[in-house]
Amino acid sequence: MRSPERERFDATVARTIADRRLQDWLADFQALAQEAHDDALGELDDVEAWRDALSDVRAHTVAHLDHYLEQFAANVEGHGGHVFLAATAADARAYVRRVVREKQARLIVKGKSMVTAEIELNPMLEAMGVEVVETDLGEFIVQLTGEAPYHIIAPALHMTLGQIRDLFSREAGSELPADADALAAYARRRLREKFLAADLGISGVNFGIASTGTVILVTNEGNGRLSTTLPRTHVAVMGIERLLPDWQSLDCALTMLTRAGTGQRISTYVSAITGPRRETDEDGPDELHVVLVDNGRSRILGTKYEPVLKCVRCGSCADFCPVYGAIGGHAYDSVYTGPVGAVLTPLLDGLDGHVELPYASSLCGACRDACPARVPLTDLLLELRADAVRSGRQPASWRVGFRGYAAATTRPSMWDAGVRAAATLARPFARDGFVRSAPGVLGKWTAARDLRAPARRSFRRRWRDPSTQPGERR
Amino acid sequence: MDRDAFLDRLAVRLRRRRGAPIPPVPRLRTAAVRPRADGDLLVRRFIDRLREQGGHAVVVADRAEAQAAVARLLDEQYPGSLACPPALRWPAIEALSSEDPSTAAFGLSEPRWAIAETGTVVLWHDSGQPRATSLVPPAVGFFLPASRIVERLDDALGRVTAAGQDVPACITFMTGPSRSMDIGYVPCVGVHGPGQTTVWILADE
Amino acid sequence: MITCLGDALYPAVGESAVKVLRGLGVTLDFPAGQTCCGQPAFNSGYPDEARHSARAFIDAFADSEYVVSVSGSCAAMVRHHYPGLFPEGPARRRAEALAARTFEFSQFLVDVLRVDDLPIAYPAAATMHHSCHTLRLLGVKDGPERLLDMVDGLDYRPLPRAQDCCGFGGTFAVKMPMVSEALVDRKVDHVLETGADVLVGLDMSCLMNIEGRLRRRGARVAVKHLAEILAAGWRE
Repeated sequence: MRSPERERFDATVARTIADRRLQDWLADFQALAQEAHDDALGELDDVEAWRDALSDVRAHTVAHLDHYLEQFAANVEGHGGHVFLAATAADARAYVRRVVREKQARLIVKGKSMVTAEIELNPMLEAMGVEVVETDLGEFIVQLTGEAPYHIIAPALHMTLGQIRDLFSREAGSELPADADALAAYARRRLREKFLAADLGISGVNFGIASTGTVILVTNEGNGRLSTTLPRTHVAVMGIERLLPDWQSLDCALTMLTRAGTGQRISTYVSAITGPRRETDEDGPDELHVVLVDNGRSRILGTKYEPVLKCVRCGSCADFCPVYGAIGGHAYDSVYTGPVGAVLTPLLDGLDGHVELPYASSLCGACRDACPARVPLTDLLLELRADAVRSGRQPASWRVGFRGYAAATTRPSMWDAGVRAAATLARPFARDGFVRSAPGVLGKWTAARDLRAPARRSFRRRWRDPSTQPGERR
Repeated sequence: MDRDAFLDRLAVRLRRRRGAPIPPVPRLRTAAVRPRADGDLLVRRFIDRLREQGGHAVVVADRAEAQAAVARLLDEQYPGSLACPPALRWPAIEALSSEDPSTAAFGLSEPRWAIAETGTVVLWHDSGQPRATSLVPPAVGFFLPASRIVERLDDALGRVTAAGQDVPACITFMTGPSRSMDIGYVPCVGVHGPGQTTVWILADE
Repeated sequence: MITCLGDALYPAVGESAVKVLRGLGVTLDFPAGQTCCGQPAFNSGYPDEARHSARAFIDAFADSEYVVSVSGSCAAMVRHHYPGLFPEGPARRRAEALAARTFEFSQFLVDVLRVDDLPIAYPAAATMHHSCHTLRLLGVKDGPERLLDMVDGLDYRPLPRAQDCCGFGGTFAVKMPMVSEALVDRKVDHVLETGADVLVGLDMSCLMNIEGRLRRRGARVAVKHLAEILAAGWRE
């Protein structure tokens, strides 16, 4: 009995796996991303010490989040900014609506922000009749196609240059060349007028520095700078856990984020914004609003899942995940894709509707090894599976099966009998030791692989028989 | 929910008392020793690292030489107005200077520091250092006194820390031209920010 | 540690390991209380059932000085997950003690026995799959290749993207069959790329998976555990 989300998942997975071009591209992308990640981290003198540093400072910040949040908020306000602590997505949206109404904003430019997608901000703004323009190139592209982002840092990863050319040509009303620089130039022209005319800019936040109330934006394109410099009002939206204690801790956070995530020593732009413009500044927004979003994160605090809040959203886990490489980003049906998405989405949104996500993993551990913040992703996926079982979200037959299996493992004679029975049962189906078509759940195996049949005599039987014991040697 | 209620909720989950003292911030602990670079090596590294990111940097003897280079550049490649804060201007380009970066062909700024390891200029946007100058024109440049080049990111961050609460509304760490990989993973330059960046390193300052 | 798969499906692997270890002068015992380490239940979200199996397993090996496993993932289960299955106290300490003396087969040869020379000839073109748990949880990196290097006549071809998962993942193979199949197909493509006659591995779950797909695709590549290579080529 497949749930609707499992049906959707299977359909997306089947489509992605059947798409040879996409499979080859995802494999190439991952190989490139992995190499960039390894090369950039390899430049560090002691990469494990750097990972420890990032893991430790993020764990420390999360473990004392009430303290750092309070400090951060006080310092944003001390520099003239407004702070709103939003317990729920609805609270966050309501605050942004108030600001947009108060400023009578008609045109909003947006930098890339996963949390604004998480709280479903754009549909609300559009319903208000406000024009919202995504300015990050990847987000701009998927805004035009109406799709969800494909990867934490590469929203339009799944599209080819040709597809983007076609998309932009339709938008432009004329044939554009299939050349990345030319297409980028179109986006630049098209969006430049929006930047200059926008009433309000909305951005995400990569890190909040508690000691001075500074909002850090890590970007490469310049859209982040433009949307937080030109409009009169800047609204920055961030998850409550995205803090660092001070500027010194930014060294390892920024270094690891860019090296692990994109293979860069540093991103093209890092903007450190502390309050709105000062009276004597020539430019900059007159008002800064920082919206801190809980939306389920506080429920994770103090639980075995707390380590996932260390995540700095670098995307490395997706870059290294073989499952991501096969199923692509849309299969996760969430703003957050890849292994961290498989953990975070059920935690923020509940297991209902996402119960297949923790199982979409072979537990190979590549994500855990790649994570610069040492988020123990495979262990967290295992915990989610145990929670899914405990809460009755897995078929009862599996529990019965594992109970029976466990009982057999504690009684060697029962085990032995079971192994013999399996060997006997399999024999008629086996051809030179392999079964090509097995019944029941094993049929899922034999649909694609031969299944080795149990041996005539198990190891323990051979061990017990002196004539089949390998000779002793001194 | 008011702020205290919000924070109380977090403290309860963390099994903490609000306002309880917190342990020191964990720092990078490594036995590895990175040899320090200075002087010419620092300048060299900055130039090389910026070039790797698609930017251009060159050493000039003094400010006058840099000014001459800018004038030539404007003449040959970027005809139009120059966005340049009054403090940086010199007589020869007064006529071209504009307060409006949105129509300028070129923007000129002076970084507070630069970071050699990454090829980054650090722009301290207080009064007289508008943000838009290094952002809106299609090509931008910087007059960088050589003495302001520090070796690593944490050196620059240490200097920011020293300013305490006296940080400006915006500090920009800028490394080369604007880039994106979002079009079919093909690198492209000058997407929203400037596509050309040049740094003149003033050897005598 | 012969493992459940080793007992039922791959007894020859256990026999080979016994032959090699005895040949290296190790005194062996097979505590009959061992059956399965509990990994299948644990990985599927049934830690209580896994703990049940783990207790019996820890008891079975209570008197063993070393426990050598012919499957990396099983050794990893004991070393990485057993302690956390038990609450703090004597049960956890026993688990930790077992973990400390449990080794995967190649790890035991390289790190404990410190083998640097083997009397083995095995002329064949061979490649090797590294197994995720063995690589990442046990940290077994170049040990197996060093052992293969000691084998005369072996033409070793590195497997492209050897570190990539073969797609087995326990019940993942039947819970997410489309994805598992896509992953094992990539692994098989890489194996075939090497032109090797033999695929060598350290973990019977991976070998079972890759072998099953190789056969279904009609490929003529033999699949052997490292112990089988060493035992077959052993010169008395």
